[in-house]
Amino acid sequence: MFFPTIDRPLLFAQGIVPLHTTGVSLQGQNLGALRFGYDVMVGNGLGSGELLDNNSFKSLTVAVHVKPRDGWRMGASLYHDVISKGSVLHNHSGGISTRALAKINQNILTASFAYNDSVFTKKYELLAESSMALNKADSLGRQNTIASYAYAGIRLTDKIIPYIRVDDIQYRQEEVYFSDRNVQSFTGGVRYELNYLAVVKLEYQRIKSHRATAVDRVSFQIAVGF
Amino acid sequence: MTWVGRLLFLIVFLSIGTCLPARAQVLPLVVIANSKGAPAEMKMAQLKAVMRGERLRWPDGSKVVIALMKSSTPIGVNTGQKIYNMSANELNKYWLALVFQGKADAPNFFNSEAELEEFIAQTTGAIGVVNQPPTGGKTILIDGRKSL
Repeated sequence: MFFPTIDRPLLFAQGIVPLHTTGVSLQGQNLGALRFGYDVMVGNGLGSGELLDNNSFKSLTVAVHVKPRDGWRMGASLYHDVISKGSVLHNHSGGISTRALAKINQNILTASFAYNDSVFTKKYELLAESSMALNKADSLGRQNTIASYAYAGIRLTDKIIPYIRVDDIQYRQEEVYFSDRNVQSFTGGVRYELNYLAVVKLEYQRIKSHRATAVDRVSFQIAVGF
Repeated sequence: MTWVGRLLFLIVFLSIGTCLPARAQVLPLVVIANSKGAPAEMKMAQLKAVMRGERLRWPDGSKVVIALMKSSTPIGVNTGQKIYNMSANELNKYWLALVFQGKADAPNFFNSEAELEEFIAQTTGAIGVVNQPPTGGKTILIDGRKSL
C-alpha cells in the first residue's frame, strides 16, 4: 500500500541490499535545522535466520539523512557484514537459497534521494537510489556490484498517478557472492488511490538480463491496509 | 423565456454547480494546549513541526500529545489545509506511514470540540486545534495571533 509501484526495485528484489535481520538499533530524527536523522543497527546479519545466528559475526548498519526542505530527503548508508563460508542465505530473490562458497566480507555503500512536491503543486514524486556492494573473499578476490534505480511519478488528479521506474544492476564477471546476471528493467504503470487505505495499480515491466531472454509482464494489484 | 430556454439554463446552472470543486468552509482555528508542556507562544514553523510529529518532546521534557478533530469535520478539514497543507486522505496516510515506521504516535482524533478540549485539559503535554478558544483553557499564540 505504501509502495509507489507493485514490486520493490530490483536492488531489493534481487537481494543486493539485505532486507531483514534481527538486532538492536538506535535512531534519531528531525535534529537541527536540516532535520538530520540517523539509524545505527547491530544485527545478526546475513546467514542468520529469524531465530538463530549461525556465526559470531555481527552486521553493522549506519545510515544518515537530512531533510533540508519540505519534501526533500537525502541519505547515505553503510552496511558491513561478514558472511561465513557455507552460510545459506535467505535474502536472495525468487525464493532461491544460495550457499556462500567462501567467507565473504561485505560492505554496501548506498546513496538515496527522494523528492515529493508536497508544498506547491503536489504533483511530482521522484526517488533515486544507488548501492555499491563490495564483496571480498580471500580465496576468490574482491568484486564490486552497482545497483541503481530511479522512479518518477506525476499526480494528474487527487487519485491518479502514472509513473515510471528504471532499474539497472551491473555485476562483475568474477563476482564472489551474487549470481552474475546483469539486469535492466523498465517499469511503467498507473496508480489509483481509492483512499488512504486502498490502492489499485496496473503496471507493465520489461526485464532484460544478459543470461536470459527479455521478459515482458503486465501486473495488476489491489493493496488494502487494515 | 420559453421552456427550452429554461431547461437549457437549468442544465448549464447545474453543470457549473457540479463542476466547481467542493470547498470546505474556511474557519478560524485556535491552538489550545494543556497547562503543562506547550509554551505560551510559538512560531508557525514550530507549530507545524510539532503537529507533524517532528518534535516529540516539549522544552520541559513532557511528551507531545496531539489532539485533532476528525478529518470528516469542518475543523478537521481546515486544520489539514492550514497547518499540514494536506487533504484529509493525505493527512491520514501521512500519519499511517509515520506510525507504521514507529517514528511517532498517532494523534488522538475527536468528533466534537468539547471532547477534544476535555482531553487536552486532562492530558499533560497535549496540544490541539479547535474553532473557538475554550473558557478557562490555555490558548497558544501563533506568530503573535490568537487564531490562524
